Amino acid sequence: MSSQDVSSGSVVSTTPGEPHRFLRPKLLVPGVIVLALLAVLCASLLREGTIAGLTAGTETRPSPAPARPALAPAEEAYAQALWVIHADVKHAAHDLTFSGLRYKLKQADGPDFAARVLDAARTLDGAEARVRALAPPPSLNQVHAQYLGAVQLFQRSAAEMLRVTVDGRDEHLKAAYPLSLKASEELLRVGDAIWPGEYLPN
Amino acid sequence: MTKQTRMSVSVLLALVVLALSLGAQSVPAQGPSYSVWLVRNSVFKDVPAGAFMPDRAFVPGSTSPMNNQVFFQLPVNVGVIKGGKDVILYDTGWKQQDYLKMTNSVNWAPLPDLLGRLGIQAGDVTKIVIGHGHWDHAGTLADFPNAVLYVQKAELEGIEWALNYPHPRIAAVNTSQGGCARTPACGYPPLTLQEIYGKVLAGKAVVVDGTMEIAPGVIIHPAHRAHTAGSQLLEVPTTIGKLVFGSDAYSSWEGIRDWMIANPQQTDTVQQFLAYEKCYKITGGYQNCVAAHEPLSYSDKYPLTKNFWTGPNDSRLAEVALAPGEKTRKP
Repeated sequence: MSSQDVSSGSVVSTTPGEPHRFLRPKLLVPGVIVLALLAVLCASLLREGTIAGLTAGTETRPSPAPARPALAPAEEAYAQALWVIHADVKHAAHDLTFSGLRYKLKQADGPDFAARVLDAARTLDGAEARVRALAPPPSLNQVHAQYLGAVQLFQRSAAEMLRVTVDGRDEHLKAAYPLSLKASEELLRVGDAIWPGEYLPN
Repeated sequence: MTKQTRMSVSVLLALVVLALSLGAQSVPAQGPSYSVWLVRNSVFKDVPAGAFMPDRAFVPGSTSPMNNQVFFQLPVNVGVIKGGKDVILYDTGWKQQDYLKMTNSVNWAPLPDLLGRLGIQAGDVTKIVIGHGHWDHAGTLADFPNAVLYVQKAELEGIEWALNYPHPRIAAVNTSQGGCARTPACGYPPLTLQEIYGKVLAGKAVVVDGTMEIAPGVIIHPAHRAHTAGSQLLEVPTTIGKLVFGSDAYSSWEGIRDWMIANPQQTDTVQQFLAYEKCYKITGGYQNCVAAHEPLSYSDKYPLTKNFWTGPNDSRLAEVALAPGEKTRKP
């Protein structure tokens, strides 16, 4: 076999009958390996370049970490007073959630469910009265209204849940759910305003 | 045999070994095999080293790598598992909102957008296994309306027990403004539990009591109290061997490797070590233990995540394993 046959004309011509020096077994295999390694290296470099380009072109946004101004003394006093009520509201919210969970999972019967929702409703009624009794500084009027609105949403949710015990229809739980969901979001909004970092990485 | 022939044979053998090792990844493993990606939902910035890993608390002037870091930058990792008819999420990260900014977090990216980079739509997700119910792991359940949620019975019972404990310090969801001092009910805002309840209401929740196989070879293992009351692990078979996802029971991969506790919240440290041991038993070591907050994630130093690329808002995606026939998603 001539070198011309092997190379399909790509190798420089050699003396017929004598393999080209690059095609001698001694050099052929290492040569192939070197070529393969070069190909891998080129592919890697191309890929790196592509990734670097992609990284450079990534739609990065600046991190939202503005320094927050400290609360004024009157605001701080309001935040402290509401915090105490907030603990009870969170517990009532959790009680509503677990009442529904247990009922749906058939871990609680109607009377158990009703007793627990009623208990949460009483806590929420008390919380509403306590929130109304607070006098927020003007700068926190909106926060105050937001919080009161959240408590009232939970109250409406509890009332809707209790209707299950009247007609046994689970649809009332489904109707109550978005009210509690909205109220829970409002709690976080208030928290973001006056209790920053209420929830830490867990 | 001449010297030249011996050399040729040696080189040939080396080439055969090379070819076999390169081809090994494409050889189908016996039994089911899943594709797995890890995506970074956000980063919690500047968490004091000692708060995350007590054994690695910063010591001023120390030159020991164990104690010379002031802060850790903690990723929030979510597992994406695809195989058969299933797309399974292990944890769901959290959702940054106008009312939940977490000002000390950066690079938050919506999980549906990250899945989109893998060619997966939110509606394609069939199952979600939450390692536990904290807000930064179970915070986007509503984004996946078709997915069935798997949560441990012990997790729900543990939260309820804590909330109803007679002493107010133990029952507190947060003990102070801006903190929770690791109380048993800490980390569960009403909104997160509402999302879990929403899945139950929609008939899309399975309350798991212990071990459960949720897809061929994909097995939930209880790791109760290894981070929270009802923590659970997920075993997943892949072409690179079995993986075990651990959420915050496996907060730190280095912790698993070096047998150090990490992210102690509602954690029984003995149970956390037993959860580590579970990974060693299932996978044969620590390399395939998938950690939720490993600071070395998306680097060569955490080899499982070294094949990564950058996504929206400087997020990260890592291709951990591909099932036979699955195409790479890495650009």
